Amino acid sequence: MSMTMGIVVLFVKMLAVLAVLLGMAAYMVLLERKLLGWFQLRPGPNRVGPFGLLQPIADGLKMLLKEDIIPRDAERLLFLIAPALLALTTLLAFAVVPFGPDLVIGGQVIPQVISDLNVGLLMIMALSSIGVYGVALGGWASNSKFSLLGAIRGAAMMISYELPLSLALVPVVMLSGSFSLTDIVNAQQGYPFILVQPLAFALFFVSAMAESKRVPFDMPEAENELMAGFHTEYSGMRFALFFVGEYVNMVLLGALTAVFFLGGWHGPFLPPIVWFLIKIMITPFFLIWTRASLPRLRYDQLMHLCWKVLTPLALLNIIVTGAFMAG
Amino acid sequence: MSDIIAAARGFFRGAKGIADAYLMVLRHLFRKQLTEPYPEFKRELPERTRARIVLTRTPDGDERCVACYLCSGACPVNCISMQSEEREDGRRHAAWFRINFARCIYCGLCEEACPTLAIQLTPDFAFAKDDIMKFVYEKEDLLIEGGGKHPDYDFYKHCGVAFGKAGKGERPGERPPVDVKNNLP
Amino acid sequence: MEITQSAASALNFWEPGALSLAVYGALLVAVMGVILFLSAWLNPTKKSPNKDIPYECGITPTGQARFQYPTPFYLVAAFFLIFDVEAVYVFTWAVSFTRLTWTGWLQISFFIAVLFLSLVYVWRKGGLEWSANPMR
Ligand code: SF4
Ligand code: SF4
Repeated sequence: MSMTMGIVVLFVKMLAVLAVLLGMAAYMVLLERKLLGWFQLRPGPNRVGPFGLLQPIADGLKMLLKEDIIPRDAERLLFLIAPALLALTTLLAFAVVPFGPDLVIGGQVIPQVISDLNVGLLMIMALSSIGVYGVALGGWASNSKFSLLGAIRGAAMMISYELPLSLALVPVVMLSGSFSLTDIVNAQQGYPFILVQPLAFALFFVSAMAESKRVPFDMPEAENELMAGFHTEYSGMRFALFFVGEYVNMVLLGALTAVFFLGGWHGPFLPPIVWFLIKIMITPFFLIWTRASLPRLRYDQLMHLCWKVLTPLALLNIIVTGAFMAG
Repeated sequence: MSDIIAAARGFFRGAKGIADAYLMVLRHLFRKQLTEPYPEFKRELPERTRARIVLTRTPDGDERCVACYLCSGACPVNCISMQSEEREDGRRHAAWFRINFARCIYCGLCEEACPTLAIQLTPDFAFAKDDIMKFVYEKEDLLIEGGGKHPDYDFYKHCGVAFGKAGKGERPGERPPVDVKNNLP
Repeated sequence: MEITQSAASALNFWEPGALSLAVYGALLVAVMGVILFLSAWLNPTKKSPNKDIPYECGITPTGQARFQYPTPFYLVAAFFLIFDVEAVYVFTWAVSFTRLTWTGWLQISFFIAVLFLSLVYVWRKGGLEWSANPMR
């Protein structure tokens, strides 16, 4: 097959991923508002289009037409790039997420993943850490006390949840013997890892909830104490980029949970991509459900949870898993 | 040992608490929604609801306001202004009367202050404008037909002021004025 | 020979490797740039002294908002760095786990035990107490 064809296919693939992601992020906002509405016995947005289905488009247009205000004494450059940094890292992490088995069209193998790096898992970890820079820099640069407090909390949270988040994935790496996400999914051909690693799943999920900066771990943007936390000073499209980052992150966590523990695209009857989408949606639904159910933790409580409960459990889990597998 | 049991009990109590919260919320997904969609369903508001202000008229169709400035003085945000004037028949009224609804906080103090029951707040709360200057209502916009909440009241029937055909103390229910110079013991 | 081959495969667009990652990254940067350019182009900023004040619920802000991070933060950050580096060792062990035997398990168990002990030590020393008066 020719080079040009390869480029075209690559671009089609990327644009499809990007379009689906941004679309999913936009509709995730609608889904969240709808579900929260239903959980609170109200209908949620229902005016723009049938059942409010055009609401994300209206919101996006509104954001695009809003003025972009830069507060006095802000660190201009950092203030300007911070939201893009957050959105960029979360979107970039999707490069290594496989959406299905290799397609074979006309004798040419087309992998359904943008970049099957053999250090995929490490890259996702690294990107999720870099994403915190968006929070910390954005909050610090806006020269507002609320923002700075949000930024400090974001950074303080990151140094707490990263450790259990990565340690919880060690058993998955042990079981599949690879960092590549495609290999990890392939290793779950027979059974999803959640069946053999329920504890690792629980640890990963709690840490991932903290990573998503959502209730009950939404201290960086706790709206009733810090206005909007690190993005208090943001407006217009930059504010929207923070939101894109947050909601793409929800989708990303759904995808990662699906890949690491729920068996990725494997599943009976339905085509792989459908299975994968279904599995992706489980986590966001649960996150929204959590938002409607639980109150917010203090951030020292989160640190205690991460350092004194999750990390020891994760370490223990590694040893026990190793003993079972070696034995 | 008892420590461990207590810790385990605490753990299960906490876990049950969280699970209960989740279940309770999930149950709400399947309950009937309480929302009434607003423009389709309009609730009947009580008569005393405080919203758009009107100037009312006496039973015989004359304007009630005597331009006494009491409402203007009572208004905490100073959004009422007017100019008083005497009509040919000797009755006071407002040459112009202006309420700036962009500033009004609908506190109802003007209504309380008014001795003639002229100024009244109505339940019509939904009047949005695309331009803030359109919120400045003049007398023509404020004056309505009828007496609003108190249709039968007429200040000049009880005021004891000489006006029109009736002099002081000549209206029904009024006593003739006391001659203060003749009031010596 | 091998080098040329790997270079050829690295430049192959069919291959889901580093090249496609780079292209994807460039595409994302371009998309971000377009979005931010569009919003800046559609809404020219209108400066006004009141609008530029940082929002503090209506109170006029005093002083800079660049105070120092609290000290316990540095402590926990140092622990985080140390433990994260150790997590990297655990990861390298985990990826080759299938080829290791009980010996490997014993070695990593010893390593993790040391890690665990140091965590317990830090815990006992009060290094994980964020506030002076924690609720629990
Ligand atoms: S309702 Fe209150 S604020 Fe409005 S005009 Fe009357 S006194 Fe003034
Ligand atoms: S509306 Fe009432 S209070 Fe106001 S000037 Fe007229 S009579 Fe006086």
